[in-house]
Amino acid sequence: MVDTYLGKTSRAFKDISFNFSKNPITKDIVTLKNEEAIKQAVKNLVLTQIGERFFQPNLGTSTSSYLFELSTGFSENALIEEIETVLKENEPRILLSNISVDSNTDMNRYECFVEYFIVGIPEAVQIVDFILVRES
Amino acid sequence: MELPTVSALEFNQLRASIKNYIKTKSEFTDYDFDGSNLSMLVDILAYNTLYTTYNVNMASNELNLDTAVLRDNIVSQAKKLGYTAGSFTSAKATVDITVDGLSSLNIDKISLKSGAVLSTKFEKKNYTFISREPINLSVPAGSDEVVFRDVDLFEGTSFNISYTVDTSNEHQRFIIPNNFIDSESIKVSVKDDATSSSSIRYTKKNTIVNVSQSDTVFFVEEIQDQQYEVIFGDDVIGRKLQNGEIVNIEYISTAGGALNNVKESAFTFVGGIDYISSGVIQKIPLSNINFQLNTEFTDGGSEFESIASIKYRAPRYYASQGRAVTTSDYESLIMQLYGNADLVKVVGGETLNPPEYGKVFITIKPKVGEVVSNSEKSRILTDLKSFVVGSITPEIRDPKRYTINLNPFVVYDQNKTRKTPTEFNKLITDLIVDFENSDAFKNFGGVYSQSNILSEIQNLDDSITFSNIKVKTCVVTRLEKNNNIETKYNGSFFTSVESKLDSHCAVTSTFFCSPGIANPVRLCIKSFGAGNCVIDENIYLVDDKGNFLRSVGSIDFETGEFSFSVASCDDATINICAVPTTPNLDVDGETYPDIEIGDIVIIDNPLDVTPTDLEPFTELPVPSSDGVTGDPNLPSDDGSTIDGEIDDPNNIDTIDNLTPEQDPNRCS
Repeated sequence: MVDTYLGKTSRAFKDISFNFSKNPITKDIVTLKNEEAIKQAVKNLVLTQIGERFFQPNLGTSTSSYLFELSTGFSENALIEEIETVLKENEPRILLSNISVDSNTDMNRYECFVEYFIVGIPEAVQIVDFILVRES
Repeated sequence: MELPTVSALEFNQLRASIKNYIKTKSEFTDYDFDGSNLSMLVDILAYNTLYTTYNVNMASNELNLDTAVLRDNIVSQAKKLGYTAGSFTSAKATVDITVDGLSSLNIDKISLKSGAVLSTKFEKKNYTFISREPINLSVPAGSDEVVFRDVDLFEGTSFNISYTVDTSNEHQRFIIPNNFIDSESIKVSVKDDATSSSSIRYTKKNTIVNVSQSDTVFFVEEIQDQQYEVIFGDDVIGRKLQNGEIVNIEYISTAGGALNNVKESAFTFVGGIDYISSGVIQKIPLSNINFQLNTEFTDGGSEFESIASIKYRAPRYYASQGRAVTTSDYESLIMQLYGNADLVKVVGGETLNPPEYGKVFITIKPKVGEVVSNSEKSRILTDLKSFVVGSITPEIRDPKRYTINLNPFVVYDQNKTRKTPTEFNKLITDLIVDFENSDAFKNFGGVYSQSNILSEIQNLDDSITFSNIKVKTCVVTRLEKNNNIETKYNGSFFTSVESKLDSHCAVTSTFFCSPGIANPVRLCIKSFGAGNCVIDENIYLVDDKGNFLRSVGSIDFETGEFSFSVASCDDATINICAVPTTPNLDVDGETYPDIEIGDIVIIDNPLDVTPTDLEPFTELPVPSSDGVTGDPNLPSDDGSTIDGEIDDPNNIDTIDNLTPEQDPNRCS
């Protein structure tokens, strides 16, 4: 993948998959490539709790703490702000387009949608959606 | 390809190292992005590596005496240098026990049982001093009274533990399961088997010198968790234990140095003295038993040796090679022989003026108590004999204490700080205590630097605008009874002292009892006031009524050196105090300085400061004579002048119209 967008050239990305499954052909660990690798990184960043990573006390978000507060418009805005901050600071491969958070109070959860462009790939808008729910 | 740097000790360095390694692989490229799965794995690897390197680093630290922090490892390293870390040691007392009323009992023998003999109370707890062996004494026919002389008593409780030797278990160890034992108190006896009625007493050895293969000896070593292990021979160095033998280990568990300095009056006799009458064991009534301590107080107790002390002493002990040649050899050996030693100073007699060839003078400051008791001095000198080379005669001297009384005065601006006067008070106290515990000060020949303390006070807070310390120094002198004969004492304030104070005395001592004088007396050097040019360098004996009795010595105000000759009714300790003109003090090698914190004055308004606050002390208060009597053989004086003594014409108390000289030019 070599292309230009916003004056930058994208390159190939390769990451390991955390299901640690084996590629039946190469017999090697399964890898995530390009869009999938970035999508996984975006999820990882948002779902990492502050203080969880060794010696990186500021990396991550405090999204889970919002799950234990009253669901209001303020909480949603705060969540959006947190997600935006963590991605802008730690994921240089993407350009954020939109972040939306919908509260589903009946199910006690937030549904999050992150839309972004991959730097260097102009046409495709990537969407990552995930659900924040209290662990029972 | 760059190999990972495993010597790094920082997480970021390790992570960078692992990243550099992955960079060389084309399979993965996302190591640079914090959100990637690979980045998480790199973090975990770096974390794991960090802990491994940390553990390796700490483990290698523990292999060296200098860097080890765990006591078990420090003790183990010290063992390699032949040094045994000091255990708790019991305080000791030697007593004479007198038993009377025997003539009516018609007996020929009495015996003092082993176990508790004396009891005393310390901080609401009872402690006992025990005799380790029963003592039998013959009662001469017709005698009403006999005395158990020089009975050695040890503070603590006696315990014993038995082991059956099992040679099939090559890991069998003879461990004493108690952290508070006096390792010197361990006694070991070995029986052939459980049914045997006789046992062999083994001898404790500290070195293998002169130990043959058949000698019944044992060694004691500190092991893990501050416990002690008894180690026996192997038929090469000492006799090896045989299968089935019963080892009985007897030891004392003690409270250590806490029970030093207990005087006779604090003891109660709780021992048992028995006799046999008509085949029945009977007890001597306690009313017929009296005891007397042969030393002024108990001594010799100490806590277990600290880590810092082991680190300091072990290499020095090794350097001394088990013989006393240099002064540092003596110092390390004394530290080993006398666990209660806090500071030790050794000087060769040839360095003194006048020189005393063939002698070594040892000054010991105990951790607990002012001086080492005479019995402990004798024991130390006896133990030292096996290390001393040639015809050198060691002599133990008492240390001299020099007290510096500090009265800090601090002015601060309350608008520039939120600290309260109480907080300032605590900060200043802590600061002075830290200074007192510094190596430069807390030592023989320690140096007091007032400018250091003042600069540190000034740095405590930006709001402090002014600080001053008023200083008074006292030389602590132990007077000897010496059969009421006058003894000459020399001393020094180690700096020039003020000769002109507003009080009657420029130098004064606390009160003491002098034979032939009905009232308590003190030493005093007359002061004629700050404006007067008369200086009297004589030291006078003054009674509690203010009468100058006679001159007993003199002082040199410039050097602070003084000498006087007095007789004392008892072995009293007096403080001879003066105001130094220079607040930086440097005491000699036999003296250790000590700080007393007096009044700390904190002022939050500079307008409240008076000129006298900024000056040194201008007077010395008259000490209290409470608790001190005159010669008990004389009736107490009613307040008039003592017969045969003449009122001193210079006694400003008795001069009606004394006008101090005001013109300073008259003094030139």
